[in-house]
Amino acid sequence: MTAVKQTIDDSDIDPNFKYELANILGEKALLHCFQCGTCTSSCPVADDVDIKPHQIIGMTLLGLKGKLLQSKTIWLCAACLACAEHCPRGVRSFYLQSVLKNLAARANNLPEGIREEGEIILTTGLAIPISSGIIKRRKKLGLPDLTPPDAETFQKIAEVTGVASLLSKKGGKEK
Amino acid sequence: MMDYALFLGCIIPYRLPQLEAAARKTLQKLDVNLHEMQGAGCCSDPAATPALDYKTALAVAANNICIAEEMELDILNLCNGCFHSLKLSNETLKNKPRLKNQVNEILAHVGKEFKGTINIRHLLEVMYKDIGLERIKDEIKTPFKDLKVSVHYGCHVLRPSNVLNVDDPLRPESLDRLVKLTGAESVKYMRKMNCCNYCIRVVDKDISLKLSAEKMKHIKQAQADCIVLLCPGCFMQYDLTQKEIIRLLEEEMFSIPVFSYSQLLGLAMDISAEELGLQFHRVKLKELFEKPALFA
Repeated sequence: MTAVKQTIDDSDIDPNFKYELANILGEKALLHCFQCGTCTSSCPVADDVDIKPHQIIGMTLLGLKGKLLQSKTIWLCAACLACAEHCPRGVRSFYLQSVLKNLAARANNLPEGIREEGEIILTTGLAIPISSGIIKRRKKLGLPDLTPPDAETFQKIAEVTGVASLLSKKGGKEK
Repeated sequence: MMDYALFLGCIIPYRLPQLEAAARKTLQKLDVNLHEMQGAGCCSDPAATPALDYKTALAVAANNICIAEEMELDILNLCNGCFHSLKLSNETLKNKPRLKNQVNEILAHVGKEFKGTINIRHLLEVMYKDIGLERIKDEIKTPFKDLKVSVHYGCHVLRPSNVLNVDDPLRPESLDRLVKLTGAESVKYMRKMNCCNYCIRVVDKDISLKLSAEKMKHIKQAQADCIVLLCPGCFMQYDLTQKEIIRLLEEEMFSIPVFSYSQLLGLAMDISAEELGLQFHRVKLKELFEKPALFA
């Protein structure tokens, strides 16, 4: 896939965006990126996305907040952390992308798969539903009975942090 | 006797309990005492909760860590994803007092407090560093003789190496050496350190499977008899959906069995295939076991 070429309009630029992100990340490394593209060369997904990892950083530094927070690409991270391991400037694209995802989720850009996964974790305390077949398999294997987690604890955490309200918006809309 | 609080997470106990059985049975032979963590739940999932909200992910992980703090035991993880979530959260909260206070304010609503008194460990480092190769070797009864293994570490046991500190993030050797200990050969193959791409499945399954297929092609080219890995996420990708992956390669269908390291070790320790749950694998192992001179 070739990279997207686009015209940038003044009104697309938020000059404070990079400082806002550096502040959330708790480090200034982001501002030191010199666009070498090492993150992109180490990224397993780079060939399949329209905005490459180093371009995500470049766009962040330019302040293209709206474009980034509405893109699907920021969600297509395999979370392998190869970029974080290789970056010569300590920028670590993975962490930047995580922060962008948090902001995008609040801007109604939340893939349904992630929303569903988050919902099941934060309502049941487990990422996978308990099935009777697996309980039987556990018995066959001589494994101990499991005590499921306290679902209310997870629900309470989601309520206190405000994530519960994000999860109730299926496809960006109230359920 | 070594004691750990066993953190199971979700995929292993509720989807792939055979990996749990193999780990428990091999660790028992190695005199490791496992203590159950009552009330523990999801680690936060490296692909889900942190993408939604970082502080929620920290609180979910810390809620689990608090259980082991009360037990006064270090946590042993079988899953790379759980290890990654819990260790990253544990180190962050230990080193960033402001964030720790904020997370403790959230945890106060569920009657918990993160103190920062324990360490988070992975099966790989417990095997390699705590138990040690010599001790494991003593328990190997029937080593393999002619078994070519493609070793797959999985990203979340290695990176970020400055925090996880398990092995070299780009040229690791611990799992290779543990595999060689069983008599098997660890074959060299291209793209060995590539990700399994399980984590992007929920966002784009096509890309996820396509990238796995590239790695599978190299594993086939290296003439490996099987894949040995650690993480249940990687196991889901390479075992449960292997057929879908191979189909993408547009060549003749083939299959390569997948084992967790505990299962491979268990076989060499003379634990039966049934006890290790090998009958529950989707990629069948019959052909592999029919191979002449598999064991010494």
